[in-house]
Amino acid sequence: MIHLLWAALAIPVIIHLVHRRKAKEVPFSTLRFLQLVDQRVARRHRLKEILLLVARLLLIAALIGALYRPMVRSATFRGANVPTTAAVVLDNTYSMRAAAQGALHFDSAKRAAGRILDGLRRGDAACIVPFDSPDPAPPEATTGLSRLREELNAMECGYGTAELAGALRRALAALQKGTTPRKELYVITDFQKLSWTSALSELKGSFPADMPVFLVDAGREVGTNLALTHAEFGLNVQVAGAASDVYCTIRNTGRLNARKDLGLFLNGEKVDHREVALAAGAEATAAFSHVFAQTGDVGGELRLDADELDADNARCFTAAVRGKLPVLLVNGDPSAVPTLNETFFLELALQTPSPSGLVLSPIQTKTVVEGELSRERLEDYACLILANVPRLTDLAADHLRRYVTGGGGLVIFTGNRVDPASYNTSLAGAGQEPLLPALLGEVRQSEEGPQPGYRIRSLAREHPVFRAIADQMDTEGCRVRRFFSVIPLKNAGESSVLAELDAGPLILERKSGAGIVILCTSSADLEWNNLPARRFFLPMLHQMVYYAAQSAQSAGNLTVGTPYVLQMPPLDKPVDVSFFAPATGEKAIDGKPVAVVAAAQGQNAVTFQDTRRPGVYRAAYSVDGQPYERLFAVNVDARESDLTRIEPEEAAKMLGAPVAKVVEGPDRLLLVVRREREGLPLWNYLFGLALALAVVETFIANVMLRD
Amino acid sequence: MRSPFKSKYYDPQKLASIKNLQLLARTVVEGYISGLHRSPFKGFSAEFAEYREYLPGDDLKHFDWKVFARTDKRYVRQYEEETNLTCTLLLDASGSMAFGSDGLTKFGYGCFLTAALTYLMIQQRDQVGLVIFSDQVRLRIPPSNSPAHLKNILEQLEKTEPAGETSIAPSLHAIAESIRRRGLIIIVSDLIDDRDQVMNALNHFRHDRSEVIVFNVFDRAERELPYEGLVDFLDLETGRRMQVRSDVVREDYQRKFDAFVRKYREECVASRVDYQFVTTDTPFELMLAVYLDRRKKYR
Repeated sequence: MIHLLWAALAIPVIIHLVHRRKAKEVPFSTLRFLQLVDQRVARRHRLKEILLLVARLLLIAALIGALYRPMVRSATFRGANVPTTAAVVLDNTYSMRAAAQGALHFDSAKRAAGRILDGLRRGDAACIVPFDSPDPAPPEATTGLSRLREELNAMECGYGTAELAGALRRALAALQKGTTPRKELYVITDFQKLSWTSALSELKGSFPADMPVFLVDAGREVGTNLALTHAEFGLNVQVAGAASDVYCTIRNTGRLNARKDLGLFLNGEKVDHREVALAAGAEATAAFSHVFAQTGDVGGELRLDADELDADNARCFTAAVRGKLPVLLVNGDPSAVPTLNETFFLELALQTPSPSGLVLSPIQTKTVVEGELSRERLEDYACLILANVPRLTDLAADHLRRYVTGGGGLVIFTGNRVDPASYNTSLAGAGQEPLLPALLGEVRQSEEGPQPGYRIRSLAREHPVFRAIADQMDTEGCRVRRFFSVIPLKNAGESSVLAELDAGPLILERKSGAGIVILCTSSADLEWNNLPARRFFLPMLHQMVYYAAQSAQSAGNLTVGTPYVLQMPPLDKPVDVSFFAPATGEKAIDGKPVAVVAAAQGQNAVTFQDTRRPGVYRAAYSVDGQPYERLFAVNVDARESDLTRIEPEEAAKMLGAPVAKVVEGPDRLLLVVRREREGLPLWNYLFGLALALAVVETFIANVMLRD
Repeated sequence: MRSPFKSKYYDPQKLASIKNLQLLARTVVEGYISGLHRSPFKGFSAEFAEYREYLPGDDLKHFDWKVFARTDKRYVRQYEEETNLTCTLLLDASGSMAFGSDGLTKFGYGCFLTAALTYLMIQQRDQVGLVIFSDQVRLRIPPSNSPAHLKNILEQLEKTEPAGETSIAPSLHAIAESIRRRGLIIIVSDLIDDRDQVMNALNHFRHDRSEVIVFNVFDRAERELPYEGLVDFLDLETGRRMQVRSDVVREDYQRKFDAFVRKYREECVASRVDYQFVTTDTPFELMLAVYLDRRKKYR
């Protein structure tokens, strides 16, 4: 019936044509006055006639069109009320803990997810896929929407960081398993640029053309946020009675300048504080100096006052405050004459007594020979120094590898007894993570002369080993007569040169696992060089030990989500290890362990998985009645504090989905979804157009008449 | 005056209506004549011509008491006033005068006007002549005031058809050259010609100290342009055509037309030419009476 109305379009055309019927002839007295008339008037009138005709045709067409109640369907339209499976990728990384006007971004995201579930009907299925999920398997979409809603309500924002690509893969896998005709993918996020990485390019082509992807913006620009991105002890060891420096890096990732109080807490007690003021985007370092009164494990925290994102306001650390820093020296060339021992100068430098004989050094050394190395429990030492040890057995090499990768520090001095091939095989053999910074080559010897020996050509003065003693490093008189040349490793990424001679590297470093290896290509005595006779030898050796030993401290510092591996001594019988969550947090801790992990007989390590929250955890166990306790710190990944946003439209392009809709906020979500599912009704727009055309037509007609 | 003949331009009733207008109109008519006579013609004697019935308001100076005593009827004497006045009626018979709506062309209207004026003049014993012109003089009837003169003029009017192009100025100049004595020149035309040339020609009459009256005759349609839609206008003089959306151009056209008339009026006033804009839908006798009344005010 409506189709017949299209015939009404002929009316204005007919009127127009009739109006323009053939001119009638009128005999007239004279054309004189007609010829004087401005022809532009006629031309303007002609144009207006055409405009009027067009306006009237469009007006009628718009009205008739509106009667059809047309809808614009998207490419993903599958029909009204078809069963749907929805996968909701929910950003629960800690940037979502940012608060806008008192409400967390994550709460806003949950609200959006709730609306999505509310918009589903009976028979529809859904699943929620958190960004940061410990389970790599894709979830199962469920038709039990009420239960899913309860799970959603119970969800908490995490402290981790994650890329979007992983969550999308899981969500797409979940949708693929669904059997409903229509599938929808929702991504609710704060559009933190960090999450939108190039890994998303691997997903291009994975999005079906008939599946809409809704990108819901649950975030906002953060005004004020100071983030503690790093905290570490200085190179001083933590010994009771001695000052220990704690350094931390603070970055302002908010839009505004900020000023906050930074406090140092040890075992929950505030021991120091200072004020920090930073402009937006700026970074600064703050330092505290503290004297530990007692030995023992200490859990510490640097904490800023609250701001819009509290999750990055704290940095936890642990400190094993010792009476002394234990260092194991392995004498590779023992001698009955003490001064001829390979470790003579090392012992002297590391345990320098005062004139009165009182040893002031915080380092406690123990010297063993090569054959005794395997009997030592390496974990008891903060640092291991090999001095001219000829070769290492496989067992010893294995122990060393476990020790270093577990966080131990190893310093190697070469000498005339060192077998380079053995070192290269046992410490940098094929198929293994190399401990050596470089392979040992041939011995190079300087030519004889008035001042024989190679000189130190360059020094990494900004390296932690030399940074604090750079002004003491007078290397002018240093001479190295012999040293091992080195051959770079194939994967030399973690190796670096700290000091270089005229003819080759002298001191190299490599990070291996959680530990550090420092290689000196010359000897620790005066046989190959005059380093022990130089004034800088003592502070340099101390700094090396402190630097290598530091890695043991950081072994207990993890990132949220990283499993903690507790190294234990070999067990004679099974032991249960209790893990206790941080004392601070959103939920009250009742003193009960959050996990108990059984360690079997002979097992020397247990793994604790649940490091979802930042803070200082405690692991406790007992062996034969002897209690053991270890603290370890878990911190957020500081990268997540970079709150730089990516434009949602750019993010959609990056995703490469055929149909991607950006939703500005949870409030608009249902409207956008409904339009995508059902289509966009056009009839009201057509009525509006008709109204506008009526106004235009009136205007043109009046202007024409006025002319 | 009684005339037994019939002419379409001679409607005794209408003419009588002019004559029988209220006292004011009659006075105006007479005054018109007297007024015309005043300026150029002074101090002439009048001879008795006839009696006419007394009407209230007539000057008692001319009341014939003797006739009243004899017959008990009231009459006044009418004198043969100065008939030196020579009036020449110039009627435009160009093609543009053939235009008319509602059945009456401008030329026809001009003929009615000419006839009425002729009648008036002859009744007043004035000599009246007629010149019909278009692009040249087509007919010339010398002035006379004989009773048969009206008939002659009316016959000529009936025979004449408007045609030809307008070239008023040369015709007027030629007529002005031919008129040897000053008098009254009455021009009935649409004056659709070069205005400067026309005014030059009118001034030619003025230079001879003749009094000039111009009846600028138009059909109302020529001013109103009451046509809708697309119209193919045909020029009655030249035969040229022009298609125009008359409803579109009407306003602008009227502005141009009014400017034409206004210019003529202004220049006629400046040249002391009596200008009267006339549309053919106005009953000519009414128009003439209005004109005569107006003329009286400016004596």
